This record gives sequence, structure tokens and C-alpha cells, in this order.
Amino acid sequence: MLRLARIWRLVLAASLLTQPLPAQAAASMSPLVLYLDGDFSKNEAASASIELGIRTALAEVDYRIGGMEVAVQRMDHRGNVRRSHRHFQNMVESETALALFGGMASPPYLTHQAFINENRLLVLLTWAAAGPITRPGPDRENWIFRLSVDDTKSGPFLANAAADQPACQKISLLLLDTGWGHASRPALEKALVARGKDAGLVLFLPSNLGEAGAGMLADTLAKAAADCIIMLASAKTGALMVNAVHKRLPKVRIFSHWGIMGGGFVDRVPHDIRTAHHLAVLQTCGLRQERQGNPHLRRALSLALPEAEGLADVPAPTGFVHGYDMTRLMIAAADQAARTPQWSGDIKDKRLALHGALERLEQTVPGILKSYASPFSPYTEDQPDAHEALNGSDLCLARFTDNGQLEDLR
Amino acid sequence: MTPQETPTARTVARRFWVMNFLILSLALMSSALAVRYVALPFFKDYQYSAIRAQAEDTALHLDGLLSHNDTLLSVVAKDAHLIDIALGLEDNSEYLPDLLAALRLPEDLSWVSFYDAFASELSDFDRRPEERRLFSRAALDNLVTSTLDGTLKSRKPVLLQTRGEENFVILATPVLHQGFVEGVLLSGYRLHTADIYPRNEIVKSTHLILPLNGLLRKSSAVVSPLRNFALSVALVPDEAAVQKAGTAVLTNSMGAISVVLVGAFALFVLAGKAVIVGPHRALEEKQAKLSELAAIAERANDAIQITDLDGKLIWANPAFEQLTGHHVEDVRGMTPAAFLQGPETDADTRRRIRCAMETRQAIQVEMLNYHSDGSTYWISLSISPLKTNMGRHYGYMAISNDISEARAQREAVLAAKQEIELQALHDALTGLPNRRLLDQTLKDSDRAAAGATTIVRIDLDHFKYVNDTMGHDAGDHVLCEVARILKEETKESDLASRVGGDEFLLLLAPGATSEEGVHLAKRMLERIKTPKMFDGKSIRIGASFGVASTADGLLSRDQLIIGADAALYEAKESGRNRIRVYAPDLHQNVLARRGLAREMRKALAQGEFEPYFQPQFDARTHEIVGVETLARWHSRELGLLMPNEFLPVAEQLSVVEDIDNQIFTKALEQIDSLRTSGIMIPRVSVNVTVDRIRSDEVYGRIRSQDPNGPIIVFEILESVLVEEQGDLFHFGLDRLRDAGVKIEIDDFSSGHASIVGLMQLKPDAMKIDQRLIRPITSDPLARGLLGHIVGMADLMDLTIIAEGVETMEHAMILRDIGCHTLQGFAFCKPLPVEELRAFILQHEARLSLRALGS
Repeated sequence: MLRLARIWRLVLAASLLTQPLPAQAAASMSPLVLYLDGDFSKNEAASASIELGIRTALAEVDYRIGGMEVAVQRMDHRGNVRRSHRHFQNMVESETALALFGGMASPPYLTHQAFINENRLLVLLTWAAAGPITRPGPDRENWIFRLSVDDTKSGPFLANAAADQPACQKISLLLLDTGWGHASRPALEKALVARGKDAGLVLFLPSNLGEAGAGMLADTLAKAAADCIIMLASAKTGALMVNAVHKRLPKVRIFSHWGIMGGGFVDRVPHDIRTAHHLAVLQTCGLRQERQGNPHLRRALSLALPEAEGLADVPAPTGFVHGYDMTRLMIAAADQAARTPQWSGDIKDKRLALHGALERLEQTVPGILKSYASPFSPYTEDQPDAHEALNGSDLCLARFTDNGQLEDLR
Repeated sequence: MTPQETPTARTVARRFWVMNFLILSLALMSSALAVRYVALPFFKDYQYSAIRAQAEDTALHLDGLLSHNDTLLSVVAKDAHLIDIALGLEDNSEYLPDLLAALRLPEDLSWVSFYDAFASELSDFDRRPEERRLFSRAALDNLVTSTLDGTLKSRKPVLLQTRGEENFVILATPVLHQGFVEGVLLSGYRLHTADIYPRNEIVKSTHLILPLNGLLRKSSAVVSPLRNFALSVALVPDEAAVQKAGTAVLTNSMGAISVVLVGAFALFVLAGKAVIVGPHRALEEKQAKLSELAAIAERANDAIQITDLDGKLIWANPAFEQLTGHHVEDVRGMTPAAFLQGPETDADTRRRIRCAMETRQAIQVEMLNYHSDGSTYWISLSISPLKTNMGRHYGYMAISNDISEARAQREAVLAAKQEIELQALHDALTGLPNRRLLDQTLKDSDRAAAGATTIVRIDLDHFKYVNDTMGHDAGDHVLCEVARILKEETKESDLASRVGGDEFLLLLAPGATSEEGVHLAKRMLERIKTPKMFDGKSIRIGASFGVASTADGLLSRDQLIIGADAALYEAKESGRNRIRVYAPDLHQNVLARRGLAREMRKALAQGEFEPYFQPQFDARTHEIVGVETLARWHSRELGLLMPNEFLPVAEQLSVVEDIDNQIFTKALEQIDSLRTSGIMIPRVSVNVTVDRIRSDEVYGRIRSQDPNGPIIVFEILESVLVEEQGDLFHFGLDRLRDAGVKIEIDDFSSGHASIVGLMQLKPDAMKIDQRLIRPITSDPLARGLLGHIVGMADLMDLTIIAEGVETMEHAMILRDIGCHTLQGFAFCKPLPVEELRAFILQHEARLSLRALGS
């Protein structure tokens, strides 16, 4: 796996090489700006991967979309919803911010979904799984598009994966004590019921969980004699829980949402423990695409990280894959929007044009995960997945290799 | 050294004092200078060190206080929900106040404000919200912003405001999430100056200051920064107080040094005075005292002489010459004993003086001395050994004075005293020891231990007759004669004493028996019976003797006189000129009496004395006209006792009146009880003594009698008429008469009653003694006398009662003579009440039959 610092250098180099020169910039209109609202402080790997994906896709078009230059502006929300809100407010004020890429956390977008939609801020989510984010409810505009795992799909996917295992008779749920965790619970339970299983025990993980707290939760699980666990956790809390569970229930199978991929998980959980628990991690099927020799993946990867031997060399590869694919969709939509009169309007018009183009993308856009044909459509209650670029069939399970990389779980 | 060269004690003392004063002054001055230039600067430096230490202590204390609060807020800042709120994951403005309200917060804490990462206030917790307004919004924002900045500072920034005695401090506590500041808690505190700054006399004021405060520039302020907070404590010393404290140190030190030095010098002076001035003064005083003593000795009235250790005269004063008649110059070098003492001087006294001088002891004696002219005189002599200051003896001093006159007086007093003592213990008439000396001798335990004690009690017979017929001189002569006989017949170890008018008592020598006593008594009786001549007339007397001895084993020493009395009484009872020994038979009688007395006391308490009634009859009709009440004792132990058996003992015990009361009370009750049988007794007579006539109690009893009851008759012995009675007797008699009591003379003609006495007393009746009644059947003289008595009674209008009527013949004669009432065995003996009741009923029936028959 490439070191994170090195990725940063690459991202920086790529951005410098592909950015228009100042002379060129002066000759054209002010460049459009793409905000990247991510946690560059506490989950640096995920945000950096997303940025790498975005910049790789933009590099492919020389940072020009819809005939205009575009720049990426990093906005570090540091996991703080309020800070994201500031970014949204900045965007409202901005004359150039065309869209905001968001990732590696659902709360900012869940909390400020209304604000986003009311102010018609175009938000492209590459790493946020909470189901309601792209489903604002009746009679509301929907300005949030997602190319990421959708928990309305991931829940049933994980539940089915567990239910498929004969060893899983008592399946317990370990969910983050956040809006995301609580929102995921019904879908998980419903899916388990559909498979004739009960969620034996549902436990919530506090965001400031420590070893003692993890131990207590693990004791509770041990008392309930759980044989399989479906876990929605961050990298830190997930690592604490897996280690704690290992001491009490050394053979329990663990099916984890991809939240643990935020960074640092493999450093905290040794490989033998990961293996002992048959630890399976929800992923979109990038690894499978790589295994199947997807040429777009190879090209993008070679552009982004020429030294990388495979997707596994990218830390938090999900971010790269989703960022890349989402940016490609945006570029296609911008090109489509550029043909509308609105594109020549102010930034709000441009956002509106781009929003319309995304919902009615005419061309099929090939990406790493798949080729996207009309990935989005106008949202109605009848079309809850209208702003979802991926669906259940795009989900896969992966496992860790002994060197901490993910590999497709065939 | 001449007197001019010798400094006087006063001069020495003055020099001594001046020198000491100078040394003390110098010591005090040098001490003051040492304190002023050495200790004072050191003290001031110490004062400022103390202020610095206090500043550091205060800073440390305050730092601890604030750190404690900061720690508390840090714990709060780690609360998961609070972090979620800071992160925007939760939206709950009530959470912080709820959280803090549930905690036990320090009283200092006034308020807490919660800011998010953008310095926007999320929520507040308020206790004293007005204190927040003491700070400007900008200042608060600055503090929040600098905290959000996240730069770690070694001393945390704080805000401070001071209002009077109160300091208001604000601390900022970051809310961290994964190492990043995501919010801030501002907490405000109110600190009372008194709580954080200890009082100190040398600190003018204490301030809390922020760094770069103007106070820092004041050179005098002592500033101590807090270790963890950007805050300092500044102490402004009170220069005046420091100065004052320095002065106090100087003053106190000097005070203490002065006390010590003065104390030390005082000791030195005392010691020095004793060593230096003392001897001078003592010498001077000694000289003065010697001069005075010499003068006193010269002028003394007492003779004073000084001798050496060998007793040879060295010096004597003029009084010595005057007392002894010797010139000192003539006798110097001689021992005073040689020329002052003579053959009559008591040898023992001389020996004692010699002994005292040999042992160097002081001695005081009285002795006879000889004057130079050969006459003698008594002196009181005190000899004291003389010794030097070192305790070495060097001679004797003798002081003497003439006590001849005093001694003569003392001997005269002694002689008078002996005479008085002799008189007190001896009978003046006969010169015999008196009762007092006898008692003393009897009590003498030495004598008691020497052997048995025997006494002879002597009572002269017919001595009263001698006195009455021949005069007291004859009586005295007889007594002296008897005393002479006693002296002559007794040995020296016997004690013959006169213990009463004609009573003598001999205490025989220890070991004597009653036989010896009897033997002696016989000898004396013979000689006493021998007629004595007085004034040419022969006087015959006799004597009765009672002998008692402890040797007989019947009596103790204490009881001897009583025993001898009892024997004497026996002797007199059995005729005169008898000698009786307190022998077992007499002892039994005495014991019997004693038993009787004991029983009598019990009988009185238990009411064993009963009235017996002897009816009295009309001489003509033989109707019952009254009863005489007679006393009987129904003893449980002794049976029925007659008055002659118990009255002598009752008299000795003085219980006659008690018996009379008991009999009288019972008699009235019993006579009254006869009424229930229809028997009415007209008169009830009782024997009374003179005392009872006078008794208020008897009078009260009579007054309380039922007026319809029988007439009470008091029988008084004829002897009452003989003895002269006082006014009280006549008063008692009159008031009894007024109360209805009749008076009757009992045993008339048995004594010496006079017609005049009868006329004075005016009795209601007269009871003729039975000794005159009994012979009338055979003796015409008796019958004739009785007839005259009855005639006399008739003249005086008295009722005549004849007692001792033994036969009906007596009854008829008496009726014929003219007696009114008859009483005697011819009719009825004395009866207890129930028998009386039966008798009267039967008698009345008999009279009724007789009346029917006639």
C-alpha cells in the first residue's frame, strides 16, 4: 500500500500539472470550483482517496468541464457537522462553487439535508451510506446525488450475507450510536426477519467508546452467546470492538459495514484476529472489477498512482473508486448541461443546469464499478432510488489479506 | 585601721550601687546597638522573605483552586454527548445545564458557557449570571477564540475582574474530539479575597493580576505567578508596618534583654550585697547592739554575771553587787558558788547546775543564796553557755533576781489551797472525812485492786431526840464523841467518814471481810451506848449498823452503799442498836423488791390494778349508802396482791399517783356500769394523798363526771390535820368541794389529830379507826371514848363512819352509840365489781323480803 504522504504528493503534483496556468486563467472566466467537504483531519485516508479519484477524473479532462475550468477546493469538516454547515453556507455565498463533493460521513448531509435542498446546493456524495440522505420526502427538491453504498441496500445485503452462513443462528447487531446507526437498524432487522432470523441483541457504540466500554459490550454479547455479528462502526470503534469481542467470543463471525475502512483499522486489529472472525467487509465491487480486468480501473489507477500495482495499494480504495466514477458522471452531466442556456448563467443557473443534466444524463458513462446508463433520475417518493447511482448488485464482500489489504471475497 | 580610714557601711553601699548601675547601663546600651545594627536589617530581610513566601503560597493555593475547577470542567468537556453536541451530531441546548445541575459543583463556580468550534454560544449554565456581564463580549470572544486556536500554552489564559473584596475569574476549557478542539467551555468563578489571601500585618494589600499589569512595575510589589494559569498574585508590602514591626522587634528585644540583664544584675546585687555590704552592715549593727547590751546590762535590775568556762567570775553588773552584797573586784576570779551558796542551799539544785555546765546546757533553777552579811534569800537563776560566732564556748552568763518575796507568797497560797482542799473533803464539826472524800476513796482503783471492800454504815438512834431535848450543842458534842470513837476504833488504813447529820460510814482497809466489819461495829456499839456527859448531864444514845462487803459475793463495789443501807434499814426495822450484814436472805428480799418493782411497771402499763369495793351501810336501815374503793393488784405473775404488799415498793418507785389514777378511773367506770342493772350507788369514796387534793388532773376528772352520778368522797388521812398545809392545799380542797366532792377524815383517832385541825378543815365525815372499833364489844372504855367522839362529831355536824365492823354485835353497839354508817366484814368484804353487783342485788332482795316480813 502506498503511504498516505506519498499520495498527497501525487495528488498535489497532478493538480499542479493539470491546473490551467495563471495566464490561461486570466484569459477565461473565473474557474468553477468544486468543494470537497471531507474529514482531512481525523479520517484523512478516506478523504484523500476521494480527492485522488476526483482529481484523476478531472485530470482526464484537463480540469475543464462544460467548457469551463474547474478547480478542487478542499474543505475539511474534521467530522464536525457544524463545520460542514459552514461549508454549505460558504457555497451559498460563493459565485463559483458549482458542486460539493461530500464523503466519509453521513451526519452533515442528514442534518443539513433541508438546507442543501432549499438552497439548491448540488451535493455529490461519494462516501455516505445513510439511506434518508437522498430521499427528502414528498414535495421537496432533491439536490443530493450519491454514488456510494446506500444503507437501504447495504442492510439487507449484510443481513443476507450473514443469513446465508449456516453458522449464523444468533445474529447480533453492533451499531454506531449516531443517526446513521439508528437509521440502519430497521432495514437490518427487517431483512433478518425476512430471512427468518431475529436480531438477537442490538447494541449501540458511543462515539467516544474506550476499551472498558468495548469490554462491557463484548461481555453482553458473550452472555447472549452471539455466533454472528453485523457491525456498523468507525475504524476506531470497530477495532476496539473486534479486539474486545475476540477475548470473549474468539470464533464469532463478523460482517462489517465499510465504516471501519476510514483508516487505521488494520493497524489496530492483528491479522489472526481478523481471520479468526472471518471478518467480511462490505464494499462496492471495485475489487471484483479489478479482478475482472476492468480497463477503466487500470487507466485511472495508472493515471492516479503510476506506481500502484493494484487497487489494494490505494488506502481506502472505495473513496478513490467512488470519487472517480462520480466525477466522471459529473463531467458528463456538465458537458450535457453546457448545451443549455442556463449554463451561461450565474452559478445558481449552472448548478440548476448540472442538476437537470445529472437527472437526465443522456450518454452512458463508463466507470470503474460499471458503465452508468441514466444513473440518476428526477426524485419522487415513488422513485426512492432516483438519486442512487449504485444498487444492491453493486455490493460485494471483501476480506483482509495478511498485509492488511482488502481482497475480493469470492 | 582607724575609724577615719574605715569606710562606713553606707559609703560601701553607695559605691556598690553606683558601680552596678554603671555596668548595667553599659550592658543595656551595647545590647541596643547590637540589635539596631545587626538584628534589625536581618529582620527586615526576613520580613520581605516572608512576604515573598506568602505570595508564593497564595499563588500555589490559588493555582490549586483554579486547577481543581479546570479539572472538573475538563471532565465535563469529555462527556460524549457534549462532544456530539459540539460536533453537531446532537442538538440539545439543555444538556449542559442538566449535566452540571446533576454534579456537585464548587461554590466558587458562577456560570458556564458552551461554545462550538466557531465561537457560537450553544448553551449556558447559570448560578450568578450577572457576573458574566462584568466581562466584555470581546474579551469573552477573544478567550474562546484563543482556546479554539488549539495552541497549547504553558499557562492557560484567563480573564480577571476585581470588585472590592471579590475577584471574578474566567477559565476556558477546550472540548476535544480525537485531539481537535471542537468546542469551548467558559467557566466563571467568584473568589473572595479573604478566602485566598491569608491575613498578614506587614502586607498592605494583595491583588490578583494578569501578566503585564501595572503593579508589576511598582518596585515594592512582590509578584508570584500561578504555574498553570496566566495569572499572578501581587503583594504590596506595608512599608510602615514593616518599619513598625522592626521597631517592635527592637523594642521587644530590648525589653527582653533588659529583663534578663536586670534580673541577672538583681541576683548579682543580692549576692554582692550579701558578700560586700552585708558584713559591713552586720558589723556596724553588731557594734551598736553590743553597746546597747552593755548599757542594758549595766542598768538591769537583774543581777548579771559572766564567768569563764571554769565558772570563775569575769564580770558582773551593779545589780549583782546589790543583790549579793559583794563587790565585784573582791570576788573576781572566784566561782560564785563559793561565796553565794551555803549549807541550806539545796544540794540537788547545785548538782543540776554543775551537770548543766559540764554539758554546756542552759538551765533555770530556784535556789537559796547567802548574802555577804550571812542572810539568805531565794533567787531565780538562769545560766546560759556563751559561744563565739564560730560556735566555740568561752564562758557562761548567769542572770538572777531575788524571788524571796514571790516565793513566800506562793507558799502562802499553797498552804491556803491545801487548807481549802482539806475543808472540802472533811467534815468541819468532827474533822472526819466527808462524803466527797469517801466517794473519791471508793473510786480509787488502786484501793479496789488491793482486795475486797467492806463498809459499815452507822446511824445514830434517838439522835433527833437529843437535839430536840438538849439542844444542838449537846447534839454536836455527841457527834464529836462518836467521831472520836470511830477514829480510835479504826486503823489508819480504814476511812471513817461522816456522811449525813447522824450518819457515819466506815470504809475498811482493803481485804477486810464483813465479819471484821461486824466485829468492829460491835466494839463501836458498846462504846456508843456508853452514856456521854454533857453539861453535867448524861446522854444516852444508840446506833444501828449495816455491814456490806464485796467479799460476800452479793454486791459489786458500786452497790456497796445501797447494800449497807438495806442492812441498816433491816437493823432499824428489827429494833435499835442492832448490827445487820447484807447477807443472802436480805439480798433475796432486795431482789424480790426489785422483781416486784419490775412487775409493777409492767402492771401499770397493762392496767392490772383493779378497784375493789366495800359497801357501806346505814347503821339503822342497813341500806347501802356508799362504797369505799380499795386497790388490788391482779398480777399475772404474783397473783392477787394487797396494798400493804405493793404500796411500799410503789412509793419507792413514785408510782402511787399512777396507781391511784388507774384505780380511780376504773372505779368510776365500773360504778357507772352498775346502772345498767338498775343499781345506783349514792357515794363512792376513795383514799387520796395531799398531792391529789392539789392535782389539776384530778380536779379535771371530777369536773368531767356525770352530775347524776354518785357523790365522790375523798378520804384523807388524819395525819393531814397534824401537818401544816399550804395555801395550795386549801385552794385545791375548796375547788373540789365546789365541784361536789365530799371530804372525809380517814383512820380518825389513830394519830395526833387535833380538834383545831378538824375545825379548820371542816370535813363532811369522819371515819373512826378500826383499832378503836374492834374492842367495843369487850372494853367499856373503848365504848365510852367512842361515845364521846360521836358526841363531838355531832357537835361539828359530821357524819360518823365506823370501819372494821366485824360482827353484828359490833353493828348494834355502834348503832346504839350513834354511828351513822357501818363498814366491815360483818356486812361484806371488799368485792370486785361483778361480785358487788350480785351482792347488792341479793342484799336489796333480802331487805325487800325483810320489809315484807315486817
